[in-house]
Amino acid sequence: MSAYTRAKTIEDVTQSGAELRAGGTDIQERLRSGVTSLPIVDVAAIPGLDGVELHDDRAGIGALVSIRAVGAHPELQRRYPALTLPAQLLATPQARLRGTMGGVLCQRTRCWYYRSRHMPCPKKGNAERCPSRAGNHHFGVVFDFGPCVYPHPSSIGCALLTYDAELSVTGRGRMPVAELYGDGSALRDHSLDPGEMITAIHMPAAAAGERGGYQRLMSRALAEWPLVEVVVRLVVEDGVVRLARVGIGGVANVPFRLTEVEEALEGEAATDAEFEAAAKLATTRAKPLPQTQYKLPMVEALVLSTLLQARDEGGGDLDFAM
Amino acid sequence: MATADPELIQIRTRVNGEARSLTLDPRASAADVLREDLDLTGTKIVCAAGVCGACTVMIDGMPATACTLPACALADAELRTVEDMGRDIGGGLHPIQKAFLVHDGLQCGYCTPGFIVESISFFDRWRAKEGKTEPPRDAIAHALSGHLCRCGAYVGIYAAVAAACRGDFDGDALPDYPRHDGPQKVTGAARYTTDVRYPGMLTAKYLGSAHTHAKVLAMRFEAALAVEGVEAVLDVLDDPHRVARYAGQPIAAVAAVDEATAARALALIEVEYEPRPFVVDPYEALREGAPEVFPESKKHPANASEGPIPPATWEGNLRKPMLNKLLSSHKGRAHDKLARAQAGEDGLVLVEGTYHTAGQSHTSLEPHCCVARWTDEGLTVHTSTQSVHLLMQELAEHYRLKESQVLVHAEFVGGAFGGKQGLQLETTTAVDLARATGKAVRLVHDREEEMVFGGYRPLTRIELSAVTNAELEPLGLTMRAYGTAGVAVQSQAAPWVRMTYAGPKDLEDFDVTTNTSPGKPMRAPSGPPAFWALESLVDEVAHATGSDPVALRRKWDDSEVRRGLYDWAESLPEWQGRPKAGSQRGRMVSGVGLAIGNWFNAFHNATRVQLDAGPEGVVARCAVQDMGNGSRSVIAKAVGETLGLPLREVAVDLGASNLPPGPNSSASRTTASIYPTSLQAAEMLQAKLVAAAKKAGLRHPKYGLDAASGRGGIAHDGGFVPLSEFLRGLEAPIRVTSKRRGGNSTFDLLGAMPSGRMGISVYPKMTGSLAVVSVEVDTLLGRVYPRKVWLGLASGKIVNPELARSQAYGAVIQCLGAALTEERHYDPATGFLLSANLEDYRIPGIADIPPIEIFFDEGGFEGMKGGACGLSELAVLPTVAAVGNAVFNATGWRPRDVPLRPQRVQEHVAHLAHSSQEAG
Repeated sequence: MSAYTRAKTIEDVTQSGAELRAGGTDIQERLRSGVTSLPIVDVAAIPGLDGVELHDDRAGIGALVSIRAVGAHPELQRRYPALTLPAQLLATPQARLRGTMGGVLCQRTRCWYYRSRHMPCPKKGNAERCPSRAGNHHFGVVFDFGPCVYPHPSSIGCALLTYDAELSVTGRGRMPVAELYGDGSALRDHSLDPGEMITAIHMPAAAAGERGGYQRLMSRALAEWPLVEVVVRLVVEDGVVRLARVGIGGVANVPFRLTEVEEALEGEAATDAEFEAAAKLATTRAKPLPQTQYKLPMVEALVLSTLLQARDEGGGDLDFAM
Repeated sequence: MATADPELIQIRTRVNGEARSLTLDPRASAADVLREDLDLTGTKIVCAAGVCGACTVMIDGMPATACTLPACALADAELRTVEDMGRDIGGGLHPIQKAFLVHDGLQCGYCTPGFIVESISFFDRWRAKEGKTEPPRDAIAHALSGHLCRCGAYVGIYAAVAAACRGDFDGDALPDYPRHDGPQKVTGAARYTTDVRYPGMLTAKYLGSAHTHAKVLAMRFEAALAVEGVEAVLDVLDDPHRVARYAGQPIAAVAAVDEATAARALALIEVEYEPRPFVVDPYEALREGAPEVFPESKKHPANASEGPIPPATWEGNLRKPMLNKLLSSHKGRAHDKLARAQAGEDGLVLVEGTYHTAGQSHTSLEPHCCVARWTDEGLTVHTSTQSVHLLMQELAEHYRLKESQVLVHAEFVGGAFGGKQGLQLETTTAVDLARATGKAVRLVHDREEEMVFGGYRPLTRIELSAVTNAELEPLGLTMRAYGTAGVAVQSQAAPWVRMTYAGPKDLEDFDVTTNTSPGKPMRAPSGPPAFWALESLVDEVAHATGSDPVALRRKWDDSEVRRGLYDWAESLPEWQGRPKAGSQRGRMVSGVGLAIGNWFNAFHNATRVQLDAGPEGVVARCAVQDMGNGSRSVIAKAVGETLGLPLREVAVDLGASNLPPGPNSSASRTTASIYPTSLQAAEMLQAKLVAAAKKAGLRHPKYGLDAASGRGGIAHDGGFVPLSEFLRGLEAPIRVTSKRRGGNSTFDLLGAMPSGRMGISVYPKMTGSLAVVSVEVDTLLGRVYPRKVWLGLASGKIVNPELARSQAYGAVIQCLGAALTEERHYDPATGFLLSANLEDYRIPGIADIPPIEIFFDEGGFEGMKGGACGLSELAVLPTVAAVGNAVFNATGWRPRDVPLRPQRVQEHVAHLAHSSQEAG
């Protein structure tokens, strides 16, 4: 196996059996600190993976399409506002330009124990137990699904869950996004093995008249990992919620959907009171850690706030994201 | 597999228009290749994680952070760095670069290349879409949200980008600009210590202690030395008892041909530790039986202050300075009133509170770094320092050299904020390794090291109580201030409370030591925590007594210096229109708060400025440094205005220790030291020029300004000779040097204080500040949004209003960080700093900055030569408390712990969101 491969085809990737590098926005930091080492395979130059295909009843997004290109795509904005909003707000403008749709789904955890070259972490193979669980998990999970207590970083993963999107993965064919992340019980940030690669994202048909909402609760205005982030898809007809999808991030080691909130909303009037009642269900499955109790009211508050945004604004474009 | 060297790969690329063939390690980032292989050092590495944007370059026309851009991605691409920006335009500067110069969108300049590249990219996109129009603040904030500036130049950046987009700088002309060294900074030409390169230079790296508290019994370097490319390994543990007292404390250092080799060698150093019990949490440290940080002796703690460490008594980890006795005033009366108020005596009003602040990291964007080299003449050191002259003296003493054998260079310094004073470990380490290897050695902290031991403002717990009565008399103030600076001591909040407001006071400072990295002096050491607590308490007193916050302060304030600031604050419509505290309900509530600051007024009595005048023009020389504070501009302005020369035509040579002595940039002394001396030198030069004119036969020569051009020169009976023309005809160059003591008469000094080489003289009148902050609080989510900040400063004459404003903006912005977002997080099991990067340590970004207005009240210091006091520290005192007071005004909830991150706010204010039909 060679330490470095510059892939020209998908077969090159498969044969390399190496960790993938596309935009480099995540892996370069890990290579520098030594948290990640060779072998790596550069996939950025593989042709044919950087297009957006639009059909009447679906859309396809190549794995090497940049996050920015998705956020700025007028037709995607119109059809899939709950995807384009996070694509306009996550990370920094530079990261959105270089970061790819495939890469953003496969980021490694941002946990400060994992990222520090001085700290142990089971995900790095140099610890048996998570030092954050017994240590400092101030920014940690409030839904304790498994061994890792740091929130999963993928806002786009969270958005794709609300669409039941599917992925093309080398050697596996098509699989639901939910399968990429699982239920959080595994000690992994995603289920792909080295040499496996997402090649495309498949968006099903958008619902007629659907509206989107996306909010991230941070201490700063922009460019910060969220304490909580919420993605909402909403269809309201004659004042009644016909479809509700609520994805949540920043709170568990995988992004997931708040199905209890969705069920409570569908068929009910799209009123503040109904939204408040549904938002209260957002923490039904929560299991806070000692230092993350504070996130409980934030989860409810942000779900409510994002539902209101989807109902009252709903578009897929932030005016200033040039 | 992990450590094996991969095969190098070959690529072809174009960089700044030139075709290049590069041989690369496939792991390398573009930033490394640009800086190390192509010597394009305008691209700065700060966070090395894609967070701060300092390394932003353009690849195929779009911005990217070069630290996360794989060098392999340059293959067949077109790359442009800051050095290439504006080169193809008439005048050599892009409109964005000119706008940054004119609107002063920069201070230290270390983040500037990244901002310039990103802003030019935004400018192009904006123009293509919207034409010559002004973008809204939101658009600029979003476009630049991937950039961080620690000096806080955001206000100027907003103005610059808006002005450039609307077309203010489309022509070739370059208008006047206030920052003398701005052109080097906006083009990437400014060379900082991290950019210094010598042929054959080695790279050094530290080994940090693997234990939190351990005696280091032995270190074995053989295996490390055996690595090819390793030239020296040294023990750098700076502790007389051979004890490492915090996790990550540097204990050894390696010098090798490159960083990767040094890193490999570090892993091979064998260390034998004898681990000891340790304590990380300040509350734990005070428990009976807690492990002691200094069990052997208390003589060698690090110093988090700028003064000497006075004697103290210790109880375990608690240190009680003897100086406390001097800090109180009518202590008995204060005590008595407190006891009576606590007993419920009629007519007395008692207000008590305990206030906390988190540690605030300096995190200068240029980390601590040093390039050292021994030559036949002696020692040359390039280092990022705020004390060029003092460091030269300290190096001479440390290495037993003559002062003339030591040369310290710091022409450009990428931020300091108090953390880069005097002789520091990175300097002795690089110097020792240079001596051991006979080569130039470079040591640069990576961001994690910079965050761990680069310095921070101590965290504090301050217990305060105040007693007053219906007449609002200041009957007694008591304070117990506990500061924690890890293995350092000297958090000193009490002196500032002692010097502020009238009335009996009982004040005490304590240090609580822990096994965490040492704090360092930071911009107004202990000032912001002291005024956070004091001014929150005074606001509570105003509320408890139903009195007006300004009226109460006027009554308690025994100094006249803030009188004009109180008048100004009361004239602000926003202050007049503030709501009644706690009167609002609903999701969004707003409020206005106010607080004051009070700071001493010092200068360096040994500063001298030299002027050389000759055919080439006028050059000013002084061993002062410019960390973005504007030293060059202050000198050029003083000299230029006296001589009638534009700023750009006064050359300023500073940042080298072989120039006449300059001040430490500490205790806000820089301007107060170099301004009067520059004025004096310019006046001396005028006299010499007149004498030379007489000698040359001009009749009745006088130095004057030409009425038409405003330019200076020699007026004589036969006409007027402009200075530049006169200098061209000079027979011999003229040199003048200002006198010691800043040209002040002895009358207006307290005299040279016994402060050794620091050379602090204090002018016997305090300076004053006052901040007003307007906030909006999202009570549902617990978010505090500053909407506007006003900062008033009474610090005498403002030499250079644009730069003074920039510094004041920066102070406000650092306070917004302390008030709202900045917090150091440790691993409780080891004491290792977890928030050791710019992702987990949150300094404010451009989108967090509201409009800021600065008001200068310039009167009152005319008795001082030059009349200009420092303002850097004064400006950081009041804003944190003003934010807290504004949050109280908006919500009726009194914050006592900062930062006010959403999780600290939401639980206290959420009931407001839910108590109204308007929620949402």
